[in-house]
Formats: sequence, C-alpha cells, structure tokens
Amino acid sequence: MDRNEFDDDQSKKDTVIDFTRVLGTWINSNTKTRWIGKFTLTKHDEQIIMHAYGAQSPEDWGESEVTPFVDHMNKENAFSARYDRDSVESFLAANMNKGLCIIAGFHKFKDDKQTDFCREFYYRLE
Amino acid sequence: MKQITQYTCHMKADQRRSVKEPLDLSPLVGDWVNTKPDSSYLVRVVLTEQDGRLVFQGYGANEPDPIDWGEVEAVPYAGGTSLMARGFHAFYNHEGIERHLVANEKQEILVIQSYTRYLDGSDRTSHIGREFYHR
Repeated sequence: MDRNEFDDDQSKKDTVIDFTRVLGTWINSNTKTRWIGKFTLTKHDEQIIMHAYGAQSPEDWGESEVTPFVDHMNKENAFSARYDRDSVESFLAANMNKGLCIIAGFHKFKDDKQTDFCREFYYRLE
Repeated sequence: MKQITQYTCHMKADQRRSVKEPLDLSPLVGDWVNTKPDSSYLVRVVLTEQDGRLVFQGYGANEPDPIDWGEVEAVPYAGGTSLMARGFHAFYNHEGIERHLVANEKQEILVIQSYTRYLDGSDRTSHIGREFYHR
C-alpha cells in the first residue's frame, strides 16, 4: 500500500499551524442568529483564544482556548472550541473558506437535555 | 365550470401556483464585499432595484483600483415556493469575454459562481470561480 502524504507522521510533526491570518473580529452574517453574533480570535503566547458574544442574553460567553487544525488539501485553517455556560454546553467546529469562517455549533441544554444544531457564516472585520 | 389551466411539468418543482406578484428582491439588494480581500475575481458587487428590475454591477479585482464592469439586468429567482428572491443570473459579454454569474443567498451571504469563457481568440482557458460576499 502506498504511503499517503496525509498519513506521514514526520510531516505532522513539522506542521506549524499559522493562525495569524485569521486573528481578529468575526461577524455573523445572519443578523437574526440566536447564537454567536460575533467573536474574536487572539493569540496569547502560543494559545489561540476565542471570545464569543451571543446575540441573546447573556451576551458575553467569555473566552475559550481553541484547538487549531489545518486542512492540508486547501491550506485553510480550522478550529474547535468548547463552551460550558450555566445552561448550555456548546461544541463549535469551525473551518475557513475563502475569507469566510463557517461554524457548526452543537448545543446541549443542561436542564432538559434538548439539543440544537446550527451552521452559520462569519466574515472578518477589516 | 371553472377551467383550470394545465402547465407543463418536467419535475415536481414545476408544480407551483401561478402568481402575478413580483418577487421580493430585498434579500439580494445591497452593496456586497468579497470575504476574501485578495480575491482575483469580483471584489465587490452592487445589486439595486430599479423600476422593479434587479440590476447588477460588478467590480473586478485589479490594482490599484477595481474595474467597474458596468450595470446589467439580472434575472432573480425565488427560493423554494416563496416569493423571496434568493438567487439570480447575470450575464456579461465584454469584448469577447463571456461571463455567466449564478448566485444564491443564504443567511445573508451571497455565493457567486462565475463561468468565464474567452471567445476573443486568445486561447485562454475557460474557468469557474466561487466566491462569498457579505453586506
């Protein structure tokens, strides 16, 4: 079986995920969202920190360290993040595509275990 | 006895009522900016409603300033069975360069696919592009 370049352990070790180009403030294109209206990505030492702001109260979701990824096919960044708030646990899976950040949000309400899924689009403020 | 006009249908989506009202163009109208600042395609598009028509104006990527493609009328399309315009088709023919622009709007993001063909004898390869825009 041929070695697949994506399975190459050495290339994984050498990969440095550069998040510089996606740092900044991102705005939800959906002005009627029930979830994250905007968020920031900043770098502190070697950590990438997401600060999310909800469209509904409580607006400030606070900060969460993101796990960065890179898509080796198109060299775009991706990340995942978790939020554990009073009433809702959220898992966020995000990928970048041509200047757009697409976030799939998996939300679980703690009181009744109801779940909600959303997939929304964010553009970066220049 | 009420007469019911039968329309030709080639798929289930053709089965829709006949309406006289125009489409609501508001989901498409606006000044849209490419989400990718270094795009090689259209960096900005402006969609306006003029006398009930949808008018498209594109600005092609160029340094130092984008190139104004001028205005063309676009054909709006409804999303599903609603009367909200959720997509459009526009066509440019600039000096032997044909461009079909096919777009859809979702969650206030405009997705434009461009199909470019060179009929100017330059033998340049036809190509497609797919870019995202926000207002």
